[in-house]
Amino acid sequence: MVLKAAFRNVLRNRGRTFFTLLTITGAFLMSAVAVSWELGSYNNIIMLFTGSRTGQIQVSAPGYREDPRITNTVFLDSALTTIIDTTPGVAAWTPRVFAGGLVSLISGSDGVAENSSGVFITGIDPKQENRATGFASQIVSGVDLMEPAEGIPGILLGSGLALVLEASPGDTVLVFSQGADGSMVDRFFLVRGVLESGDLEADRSTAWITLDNAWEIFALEGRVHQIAVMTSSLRQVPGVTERLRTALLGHDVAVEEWREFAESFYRAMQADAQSLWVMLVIILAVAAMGVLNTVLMSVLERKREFGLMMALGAGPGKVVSMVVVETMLKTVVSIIAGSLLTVIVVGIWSRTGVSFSQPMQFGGITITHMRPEFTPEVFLIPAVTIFLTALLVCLPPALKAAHTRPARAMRTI
Amino acid sequence: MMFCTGFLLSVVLSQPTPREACVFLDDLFRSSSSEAVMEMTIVTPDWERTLSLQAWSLGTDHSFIRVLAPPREAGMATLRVGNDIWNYMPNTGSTVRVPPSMMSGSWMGSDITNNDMVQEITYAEDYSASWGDPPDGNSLLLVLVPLQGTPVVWSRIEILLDLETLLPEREEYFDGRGNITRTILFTEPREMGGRKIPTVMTVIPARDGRRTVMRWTSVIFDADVDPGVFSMRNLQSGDW
Repeated sequence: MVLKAAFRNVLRNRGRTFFTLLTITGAFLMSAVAVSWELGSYNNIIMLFTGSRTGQIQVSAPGYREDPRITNTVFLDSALTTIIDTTPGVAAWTPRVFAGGLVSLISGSDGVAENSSGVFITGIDPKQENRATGFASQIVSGVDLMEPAEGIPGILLGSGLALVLEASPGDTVLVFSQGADGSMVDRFFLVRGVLESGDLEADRSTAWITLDNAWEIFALEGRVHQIAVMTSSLRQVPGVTERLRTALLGHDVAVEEWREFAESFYRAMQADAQSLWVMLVIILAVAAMGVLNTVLMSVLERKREFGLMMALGAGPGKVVSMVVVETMLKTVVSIIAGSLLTVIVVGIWSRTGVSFSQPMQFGGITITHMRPEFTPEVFLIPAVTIFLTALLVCLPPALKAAHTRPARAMRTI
Repeated sequence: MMFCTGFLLSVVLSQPTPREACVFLDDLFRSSSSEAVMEMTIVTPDWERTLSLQAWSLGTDHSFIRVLAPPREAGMATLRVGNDIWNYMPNTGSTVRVPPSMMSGSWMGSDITNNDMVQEITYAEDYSASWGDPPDGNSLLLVLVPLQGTPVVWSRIEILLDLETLLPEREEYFDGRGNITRTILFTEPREMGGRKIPTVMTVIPARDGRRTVMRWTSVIFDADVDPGVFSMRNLQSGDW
């Protein structure tokens, strides 16, 4: 009976219903877009940071992160690589060798290298690294290491490092370092390319050589310091980490996700997430005000109607439930309409993304493009908020309506 | 009062002043020129290796060190003139000037830093010295605090000296928080090159499990050293 009456009421005043629907639908869409944008920016930054460099998950020797000694390695045998390859959710992975050293540009006739810099040498498998991090796309001049070089082995320099050394592709540099067995090594490398990862700090101090060269000069045959594992979305990270941990139990390795190995970055992101929620609460509050306003008006202007209903014998409970059911009916319809609109708007938007004319800097990484998130949260957060808001804001006017004294109500309006 | 005066008098008579001790330490290894042969053993948790070295010095600002063995490193050399250090690597035949950013880095993979090699600081001139409480009756404890403007990373050095010979036994370097950042042990004092010197020096950094042991095999103080040793040409000659 109540539902039927509510239905009739909704349909009777089409104009009022239309505006209520419009307001709530608008509020829903606005919230959904805000959630999608905020989540998108949060996840984008994390994926950009981890995806271009660290990976979302890292496999390394236990204790390597605290004590990054050159001898603290993982043996890259086929048993290990097969497990990583076959673990569901692993999109790509790449092995790395790290060593410190000194790099100098060989110039001048006296053969004295005056331009030197401390360097963080990373040995990589160029193909696998490219599959995992899009490494080749970060090269700003020259070529990558994928094609084998004739004669002297190739090296890639971070852009900042190349600037300090005044080196460019085609130059020969000397790398002076120490192997895992303590022996001093000096080797010539041909600069193949200059690389810009967006991480200014790393680009200032990193050089890349092939894994084979790194194994040979650092006396680390078959051993690596880190395996960076990529997943296709942040959502999968905890699950994949757990699966890898279980699968690699027999191997003496540590499996960590970005929240652990990039702790300071994670903390910065958490601080950022807090401001995200503050933003969302403000936007949702604005939307809730709109809902409150329409619901309140639509109840208040029908005071006379409620008075009549009660004069005809409807109890206060019936009036309350009728107002609530009416409001919720409109809310549900609005949420459905809003969701459809969101699918269209955010769906398209998340596919194309937004390009910034002015690149944004965040924690040393450069962001030029942002894609809003298109996940269940985009619908769930606004839906729940708006549903609860509508329920909450329709109750006081409903109760007020129920306590109308029929005679006075019919007289006043 | 009588007791106090007597006590002070006895201390003064048996002990040099802190400054005198500093001058003694500063001059211990110093000479107008020197030529030495030594062995440097680097011990880490993962490997241990010994390098044979031959070293020359002239005044306080010229030194030259050539690695004699093992074969893989033989011929590597380091030339220091003033605050500059060049390393020569025979494998590639290249010479590299150590950049300022690497001066606190390790020399030849040891626990001796490039800065240690160029150090022209003297205890007598750059530190304020005082006597501390020695752990036993056979030694003296010299406490050195760098004077304002002395470019060092430690805030205090405590040197344990032998009461009889004043030869150093142990040096402890402290950071600003009072933690020991490195310890140097001086052992096996012997007559060498006409002086009594500790012939083994062990550098122990705070990092676990590492140490570098320098063992002097022979030293000639005030040797007749050709200034040509300290030239780029000699560095790059690879002769040894």
